[in-house]
Amino acid sequence: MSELTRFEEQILLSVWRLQHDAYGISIYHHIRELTGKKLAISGIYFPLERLVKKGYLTAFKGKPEPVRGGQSKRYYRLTDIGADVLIRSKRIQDKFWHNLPGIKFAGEETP
Amino acid sequence: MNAPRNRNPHIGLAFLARLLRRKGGYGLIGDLQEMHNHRIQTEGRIRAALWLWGQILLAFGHALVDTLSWSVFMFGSYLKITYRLFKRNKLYSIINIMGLAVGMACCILILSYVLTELSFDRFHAHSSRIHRLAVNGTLSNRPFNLACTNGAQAPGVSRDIPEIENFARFAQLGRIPVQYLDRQYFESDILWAEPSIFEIFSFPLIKGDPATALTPAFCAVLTESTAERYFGEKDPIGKILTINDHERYSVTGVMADVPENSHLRFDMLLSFKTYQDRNPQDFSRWMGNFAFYSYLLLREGADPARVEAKFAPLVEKNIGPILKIVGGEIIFRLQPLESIHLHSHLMGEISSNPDPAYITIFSVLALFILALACINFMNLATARSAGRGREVGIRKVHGAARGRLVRQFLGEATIQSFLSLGLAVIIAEIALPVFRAASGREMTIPYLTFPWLIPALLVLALAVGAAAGCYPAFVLSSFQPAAVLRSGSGGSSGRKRFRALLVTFQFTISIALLIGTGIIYRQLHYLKNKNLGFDKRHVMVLRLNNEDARNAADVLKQELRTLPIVDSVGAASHVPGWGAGHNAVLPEGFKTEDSLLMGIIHVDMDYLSTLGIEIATGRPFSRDFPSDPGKAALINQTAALSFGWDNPLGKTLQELDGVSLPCTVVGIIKNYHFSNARNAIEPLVIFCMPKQVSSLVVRLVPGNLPEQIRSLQQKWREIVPSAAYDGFFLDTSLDSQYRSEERLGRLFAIFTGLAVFIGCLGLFGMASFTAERRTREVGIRKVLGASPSEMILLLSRELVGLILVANLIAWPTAFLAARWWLRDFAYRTRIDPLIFIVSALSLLGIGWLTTAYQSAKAAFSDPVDSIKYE
Repeated sequence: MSELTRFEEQILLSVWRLQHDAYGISIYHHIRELTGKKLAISGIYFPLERLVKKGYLTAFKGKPEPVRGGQSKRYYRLTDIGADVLIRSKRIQDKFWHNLPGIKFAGEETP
Repeated sequence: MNAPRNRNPHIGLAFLARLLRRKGGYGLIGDLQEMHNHRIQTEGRIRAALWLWGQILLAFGHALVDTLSWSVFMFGSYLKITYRLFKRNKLYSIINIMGLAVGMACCILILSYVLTELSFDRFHAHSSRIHRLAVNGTLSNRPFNLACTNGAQAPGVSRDIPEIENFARFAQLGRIPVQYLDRQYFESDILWAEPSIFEIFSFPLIKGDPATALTPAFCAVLTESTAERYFGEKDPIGKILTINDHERYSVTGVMADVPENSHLRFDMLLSFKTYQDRNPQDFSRWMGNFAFYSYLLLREGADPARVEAKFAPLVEKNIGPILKIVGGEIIFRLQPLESIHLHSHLMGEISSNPDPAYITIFSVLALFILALACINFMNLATARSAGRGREVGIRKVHGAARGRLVRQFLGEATIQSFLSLGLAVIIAEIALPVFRAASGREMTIPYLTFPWLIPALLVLALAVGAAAGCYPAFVLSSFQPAAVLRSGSGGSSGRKRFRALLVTFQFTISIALLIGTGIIYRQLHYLKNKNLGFDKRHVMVLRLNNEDARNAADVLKQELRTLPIVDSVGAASHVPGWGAGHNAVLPEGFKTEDSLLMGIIHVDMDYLSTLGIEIATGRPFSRDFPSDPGKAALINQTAALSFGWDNPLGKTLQELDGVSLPCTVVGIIKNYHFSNARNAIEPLVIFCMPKQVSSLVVRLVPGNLPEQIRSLQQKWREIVPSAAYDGFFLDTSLDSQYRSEERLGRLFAIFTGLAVFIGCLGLFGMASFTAERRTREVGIRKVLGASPSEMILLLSRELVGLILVANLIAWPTAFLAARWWLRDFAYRTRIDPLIFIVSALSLLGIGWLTTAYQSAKAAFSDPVDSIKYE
């Protein structure tokens, strides 16, 4: 199984958090809030579809809505495999972060 | 709040929607719509519209990046698949890639050769404006077509025709000794050249000034390699070369070596003025001594046809009166420089030009070999994919999309194809020296000269890969899984027939090539060993290359005869293979205007006996008849016929050169090949003129060659120390006449080898699959009591049948081609049916051997193993 890029991980986690409300705009706002990066919405969609192809997400059509002029939204949901990958990735990260010695900055006292 | 209903869908979004036809595209479009509507509320229409367009552009950008990275990713996975494929079926993959690589390499080499030949002389900056002046017409009822003109004609026409901007003349020197200090060589590639050649042609000077290098008399310009030969690393400029034993030329320039694709070839240029000063008579009138190669540079935009039309009145003015007396006509023609190499085959060409038909032949051969290789590739890929029918079936059961399967097969085949291309390039580079030797051309693969070559090769690889992958991709992936799983290998009779057809095609080409090679070598053998009418073995030719040597001819002959190694010595103006001089000859009883153009040789008394030329009627020249020198003549049988005399003995002939007296015919000699054995024997007159000879012919007693040469050299230096010893063996020089046929033979042999090799590769691969498929059948037959030999016979039966069919097609084709090739030879071998039979049988043998391994394995296998899988 290939590794997740940082961005893909962020997308998956956003979908996880947003649960039933995970669609393009909401994911886009969520990531923008948390990272402060100014992306374009099309920059989210293609990675989203790729994650669907890889099987980490599934997508389905919502009900038609007037606010979109009669079009429906495309919702995304995390799959079991997707969750699996996220947890595995976190475990590996944790191993790296576990018990790191105190960081010494130049000019500071040793804690 | 209700958003406004979209009456006119936004154009940009519509485009985007078209682009994102894939699943989920509606999500992005809808989001953009929603955000746009929101913006209209917060920021106003204009700002919102701007934002939307920006977003649409960004979306396009992202789509592009996404597609690229996806392709890269897919490419990576294809590579992995191919690698796994390779490991799984090492033999098959190697066979396939090797076969295609060899075919492509062959194609690359041939293409390079053809391109080189077609690009001759185009490297000159003004090549499209340069024309050679050629002369044709009739003289004394004999038509002629010359590549040379007389010395005065080029300047003459240039003066009177304004469209001619410049002109340059060359003349050949023959074999001349050139010396610097202690280094002396005989150079045969020296030309007299005018200074204007540097203005017309693009022969860059490395050292020296092109404006003045050839202007004064007694100047020489050397090519780089020639300069190195005489001067090593030192600067040649200003040094003196001694040419022809007593002429001193100062080196005024060094130029880059003449490129391979130039019909003008030379090692050294000597200033034209030197020749002009010594021979003013060649330049004062338009007749006499047609020995100069004249090249004209036309002005920009000038029409060669119009210029040609202007020649007629000039010819009339300058040669008209003489023509009326002698009878005949002369026409000047312009030959475009770029067309000379392939399309000009006049008399006196400065270098022998190849038959353009060969270019076509080689191109066709290359295409055939490529076709063979590609067919093999496709054949094997198809056969293998038939074996993968089961794999496909399983994949489909697991829900593999058809598109993905198609892409997988195509991808595999294309990657293999590109790998083959890479290998082909390497093979072509490695094989280049062999190819150079075989074709006689120092060529390189012109990737740089023809920038379209590399893209063309890439497209070829793509096409082959696509074609090869097509069949399994589309046909197999449309199978119903159940049917494929059941049948196991999906080899229907239609496909079998197609494969048989392909194999037959390969065999046909291989057999035809084998026959062709056989015929070429046969003809070569025939020519080399043909009875030439004289004895060419053990004869050394010593050239009398300066005044001293010629004057000492009698002394030389006497002294050489005293050597024990020498059997006999003679002398002549032309030795066999050099042809003869040509002039008008007036036989007794003929009118002057009916004089015949004949070959003329001057010999001494001993020439005929030294060479073993036989007399048919009458007697040879002999010392018993002191009136012979200067008054006797011999004619050959062809001449006797053309004179139409009943009894030629005693009749007189006169050479019309203004000085000769009539001579009496004392005998008729049997025809011998005084020129190239390829051509029919022309009429020849031999005059007894012991003083007008240029070479000695020495018949040696068979013995130790190096020692003999040494004693000859010693004797020579004793008697004529001022002349350099220049001797060669007659049979060697005669054999070198067949260089182009030898080259052709070698090339055919190589091609045949390649075709057979590729064919065998294909056959081997096919045999493995056939054997695999029929293991079940073989197993059952064995259980029923078939013996191994019966099995082998059974499996080979198909092969024999195919070869028979191939023969049926190949034999007539090869026969017709052989007849066409041989028609150019006045003397040809008969087309031996043995060659055909041997070719067919050897191919049968090779084919059988290739499949033997598989057949034997199947025949001796344990039937239990094969039936196990039912």
